[in-house]
Amino acid sequence: MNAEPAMTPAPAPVTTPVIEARGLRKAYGGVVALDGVDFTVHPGRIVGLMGPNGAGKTTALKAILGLTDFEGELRVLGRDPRVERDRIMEEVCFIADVAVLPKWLKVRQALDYVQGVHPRFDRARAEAVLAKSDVRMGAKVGELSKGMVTQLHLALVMAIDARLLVLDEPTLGLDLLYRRSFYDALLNDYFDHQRTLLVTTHQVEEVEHLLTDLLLIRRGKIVLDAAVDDLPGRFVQLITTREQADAARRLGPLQEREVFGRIGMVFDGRNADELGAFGEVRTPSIPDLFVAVMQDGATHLRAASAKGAAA
Amino acid sequence: MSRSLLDRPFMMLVRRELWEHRSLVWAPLAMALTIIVLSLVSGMMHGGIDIRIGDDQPLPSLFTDAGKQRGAFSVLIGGLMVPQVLVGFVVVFFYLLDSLFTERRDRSILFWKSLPVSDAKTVLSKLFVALVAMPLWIWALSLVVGLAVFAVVSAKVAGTPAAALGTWHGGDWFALQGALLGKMAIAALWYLPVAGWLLLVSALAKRAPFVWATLPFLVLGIAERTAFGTSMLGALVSRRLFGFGEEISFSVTGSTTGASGIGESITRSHAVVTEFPLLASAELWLGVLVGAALVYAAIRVRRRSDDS
Repeated sequence: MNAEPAMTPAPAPVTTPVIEARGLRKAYGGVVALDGVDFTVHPGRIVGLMGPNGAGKTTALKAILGLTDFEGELRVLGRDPRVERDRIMEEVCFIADVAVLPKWLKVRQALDYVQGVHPRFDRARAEAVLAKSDVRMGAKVGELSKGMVTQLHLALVMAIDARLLVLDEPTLGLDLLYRRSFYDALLNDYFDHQRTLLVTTHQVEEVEHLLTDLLLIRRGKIVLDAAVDDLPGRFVQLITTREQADAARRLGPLQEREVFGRIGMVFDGRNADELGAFGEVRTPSIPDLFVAVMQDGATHLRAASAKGAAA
Repeated sequence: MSRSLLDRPFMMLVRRELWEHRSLVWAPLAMALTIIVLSLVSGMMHGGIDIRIGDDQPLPSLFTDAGKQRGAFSVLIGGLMVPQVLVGFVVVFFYLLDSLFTERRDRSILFWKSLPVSDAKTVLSKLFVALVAMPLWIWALSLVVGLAVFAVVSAKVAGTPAAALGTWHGGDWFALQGALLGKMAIAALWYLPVAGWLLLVSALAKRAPFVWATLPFLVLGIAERTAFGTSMLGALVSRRLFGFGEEISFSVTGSTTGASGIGESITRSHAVVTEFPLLASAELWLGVLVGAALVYAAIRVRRRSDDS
């Protein structure tokens, strides 16, 4: 490695990927849920894995968590989830939606149990988090509201010293107050730059401002794998008029839509100055981008999957 | 596999099972209390044990022969375990059927699997509850029941011709408790294939695990009878379910001719209580092999299970 330091460009900081997937494939009967997916998740990132229902998000998460078989290669913290799920789960936490804590479980028993089986659980921390919530220690999960069950689950997870936290639609069915406080607690009291978060949700607006990386998945394929910081340099949204739309169309927008007589187009890899001639330009929001990429225009995406192949 | 199986997490898994399935604890306890209460009530209300001796018979040897009295002592106390075992059998049967099914139905498997607990450990904790913890609990309860009922009996026979039956035989009692523990261990081995089957069905069934656990035998049994006119499968299944009865079935009757009838049958029953006829049988150990394979299959199935 030190042989010819002068010849090599400054290496990227040496970070073992938290998740590395190569040619990940999974079919249920004849239905292909994941169709040769490649991606890498690095430590300290907050990655949004997003796509419409049935795109393969949950299948990807299940593969990562060792809950399902798959073809291809997948390493989570350097281990194969098919054979070492129990070891991986010492450093990986997972919150699915709120319904997965069993109704008969008492809050105190939940703490006892996790303390009993998890070597990295700090009970005092979980109790401190719960003390600030409405959750009583003697209550059964079945007696708690959805929001309180989420608070309980989050308290358990925040007390575990994990390297990767996987969230699968964690706020589904919660009201706005709980959704907001869920993400606030995660960001303020849990996330530090040693940990990695992988979130799937279709409430894109909700996580838009948290994410450092985007993985957009559509029909079992990754259609966009980009750092959020790189989006402004790559994607441009043009707001133009019907008269100028034809000229703009020649530049190959990913997608266009018409709102109140104005036409919005999203471009991949076009210069903002070049498009400025046709109207107003700006960086598309993540939801705008999501919609653009998920429509048929996604086939025009510039080498979206080539990134994975090159890596 | 570097960590030992019976470590602190494993004991936590066992406690978890008892939190979820309260009936494992209270059903045998309720049976024990019922037996004690009934013995007290019958002792008080009906003048106690009714021993009939035919007019034409001399006193049975039971009343005079110390060896047979010790046998009767053991048979009384050991016999009290039978209803407990039956209750245990029923609750454990339904517990095992439920154990890997409900966690998928209520999706809590996603929570359990989000923790660093292997599927082998999870499945083995359920097997441990069914075949180790429960037999021990039933044994401990019947120990208490035996003492309580013996106290009632001995109070009732005091001052009757059968008074000698109220004598406490400490040495026999200890030996008997050891033998009963041995019976529980043999029960665990004998029923391992049944437990393994129930675990496997529980891990596989999308719905109605009871039907999946029983219907295939019924259908195959009928098919066998139709095709070959035999019922080997039925015989095999009922042998496995009820064959353990050999280890614990005894009856005390005076119907055998002659004065020594009761005493003889006590002696025979005493032999059943203290001996282990199945232990050396090939069918016990073949069953253990089959059971181990079924448990392994259940672990493999759970490894691939999620909430779908």
